Amino acid sequence: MDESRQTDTGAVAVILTEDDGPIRERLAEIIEGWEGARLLAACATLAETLAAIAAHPVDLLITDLRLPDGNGIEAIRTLARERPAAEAMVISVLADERTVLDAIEAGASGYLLKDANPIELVDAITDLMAGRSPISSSIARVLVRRLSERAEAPAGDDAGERPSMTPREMDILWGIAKGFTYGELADRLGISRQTVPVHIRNIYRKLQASNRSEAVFEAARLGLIKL
Amino acid sequence: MTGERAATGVKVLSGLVLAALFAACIVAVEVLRLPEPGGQLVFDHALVGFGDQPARPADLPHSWSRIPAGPFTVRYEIGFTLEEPPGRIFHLYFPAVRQEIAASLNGETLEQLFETPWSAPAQGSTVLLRIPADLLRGGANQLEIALTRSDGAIPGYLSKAHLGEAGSVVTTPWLSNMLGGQGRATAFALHLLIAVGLLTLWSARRRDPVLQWLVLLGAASLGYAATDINVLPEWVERIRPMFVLLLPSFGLMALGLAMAIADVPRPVWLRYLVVLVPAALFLAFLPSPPPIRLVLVMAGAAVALGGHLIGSLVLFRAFMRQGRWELGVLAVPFLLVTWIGLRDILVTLGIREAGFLLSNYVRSLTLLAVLVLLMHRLATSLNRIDAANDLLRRRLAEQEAELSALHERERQRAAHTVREEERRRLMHDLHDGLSGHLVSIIALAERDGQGSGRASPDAIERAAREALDDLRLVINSLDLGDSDLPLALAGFRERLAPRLRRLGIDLDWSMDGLPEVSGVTPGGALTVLRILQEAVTNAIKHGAGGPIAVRGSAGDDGAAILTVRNTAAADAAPGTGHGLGNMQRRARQLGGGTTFAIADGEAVLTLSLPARLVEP
Repeated sequence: MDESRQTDTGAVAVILTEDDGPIRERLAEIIEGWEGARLLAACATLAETLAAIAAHPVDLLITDLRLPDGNGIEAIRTLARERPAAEAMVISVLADERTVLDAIEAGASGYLLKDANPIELVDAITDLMAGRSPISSSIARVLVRRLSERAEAPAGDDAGERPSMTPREMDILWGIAKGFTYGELADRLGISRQTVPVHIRNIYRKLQASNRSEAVFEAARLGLIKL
Repeated sequence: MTGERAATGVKVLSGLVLAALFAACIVAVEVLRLPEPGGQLVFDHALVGFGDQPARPADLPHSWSRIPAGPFTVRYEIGFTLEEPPGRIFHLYFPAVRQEIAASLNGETLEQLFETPWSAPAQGSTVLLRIPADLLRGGANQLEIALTRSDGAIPGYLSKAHLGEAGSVVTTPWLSNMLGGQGRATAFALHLLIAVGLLTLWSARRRDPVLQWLVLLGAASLGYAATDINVLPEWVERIRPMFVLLLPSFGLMALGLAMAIADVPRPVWLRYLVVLVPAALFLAFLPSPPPIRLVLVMAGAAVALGGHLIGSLVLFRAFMRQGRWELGVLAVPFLLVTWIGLRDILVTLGIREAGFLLSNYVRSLTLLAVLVLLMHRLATSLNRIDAANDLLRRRLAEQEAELSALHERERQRAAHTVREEERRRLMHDLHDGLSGHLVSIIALAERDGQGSGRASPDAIERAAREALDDLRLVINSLDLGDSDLPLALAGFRERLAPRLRRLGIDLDWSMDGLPEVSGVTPGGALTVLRILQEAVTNAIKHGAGGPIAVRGSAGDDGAAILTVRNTAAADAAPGTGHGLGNMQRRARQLGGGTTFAIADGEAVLTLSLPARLVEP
């Protein structure tokens, strides 16, 4: 575990977890090279990550999901339990919808491609900490499908766990699923382009809230049927 | 050989069993007698007077013999002595009397009890006479009986007479039932019942030859039996003796029935004979004198008996050949009718003595036997239908199971085919994109290692990013459906935007005007994305670094147009080296095409797609 020095600046305190050495070093370099963040720990395993979460008052966990000794989702859950105010972001080679949705339901608020360059990484962290979350068209489509399936299910089945989206949030999900850009969507809905990711963050929160029990989490996984 | 011998043995045994059954019936008819009635006095002698001749002593029972056909009367005188008058009502009972009886005691006519329309004196009946209390005297009494034949040739018959109180002479219910022709009433009721049953069956199966013959026989037999009831008009009474000429019809009908039951082809003329034979006999009968008439009647009776006899032989032969017990059992009543008929003829001719003529009774027996046979057939048919239904249900269940197994196999095969196809496509896509990039990365790295002209780290990074982009392209196109081109394009934009941002190139993207394109498969979408990727790569490589615009719009005939537009480099010229041929080939696979033009400092690649993509 690479320990970093504590600073008194208002920078985002970050724990980075990535089992692949070169990638971890590359991402660590980028974070360390940005004054807006300070790297508390760069971890290679789940155990190191859990120890780091316990040890440091962390603002942001950036983690890979496939770790040698477990799944990064466990780290995200631990973070949500231990540091409710902290944020989590997953890093993935493909950022495919299965991986990302699993992570969102475990408590992550954003995702990042592993080959992101410094600008992309900084943008992603800035957006996330400002309350904005990204979403891809394929993830939006899966979400739309899942939400409409739940709406069709008989009332009472899982009514208590069903996330209730506002009409605006549903509009945004539908729009993104149809391939509109944030800009096109903002124009169509008559809102600011910057508001779109804020709505998406709210959608993430509702998905997490609807997924508190392990059973529902599994059921939701099974519900991930392709469009 | 053993099998054949065994089969022959079984046949012989079956024949013997049937013969025994027949013999048992004959013995029953010949040996079984009505129970002997009681009574204080039994008269077994009488003085018999024929016509004007003086009376001669004779034994009772007494049967007429050598008396020519036609009206005739025979008188019987019985004298007896009583020690003292009984002072009570007595009865005189004759278990069997044939022809009309009239009796008087000590000059007083005796009243016959139970005389009903069912009595048939010429066929034989039981007679009970009431003797008033004051008629019997102490000492000598004189009983006079006259038996009168009004027509025909059936000889009269008088059994022993029993004198006593009612309770002592008619001791058994059997005898009571015989009184007043109740047996005949029962036989007629049975006849009626059978005829109704047969008509019902025939109405449901009119083409069945067995039922045709049977209903004919049943109806004719019922009609014949009805003529025996003594309620007919006078003119019918006059021609009653001629009804016997109808008997040959019954023989022919029985033959037809037997042949139908045995499934033997029946000559067409048989049914005509049923009418023609009695008609011919009638015509011959009318002008003939009594002796000829008797011959005609006997000839008719012979046809009747012959028909039954041949019928029974046909049934028996069929039984021996086909092994169907019902045929063999049915042969017995046919033969029994023949036997009883022969017996009645002998009685009529005075060759045999018997109180009753039984033919009318056994005719119903034949019909009853056939009806039982039909019921048996019906039950057998129903059983067969049930068995067939069970079999069908079983077979249906088996076939359903087989079909379902087949369906499951087919489903697995189809799923396997789909998986195979998907695997093949993925291999192909990865080979086309990712593998090529990886090989090029290896080549770049090796060049670096061997020092034969250094490849820049940028070149390696670019190649690696292109490999990763292509992999994402393949992954992104995996789950696309029929009209998911906008989704595929959105995924492409999401990957393209950060890449261009890294290069400092603005992306102007709009698919607002893109019409719906159907027939989108993962392979088709991947082909579209690869064309766009190549176009954008070309724009980056060969462009002047200005913004890149990617737009969707509608073309003619519902075609979808995708354009990639960028600021052209000063020395750019359309032609080779831009991978245009590659793009054109890919577009044609989808039923579309590409054009590339440079004008007014702008390079524009246009990809046109049909409203429905062709499977690449």
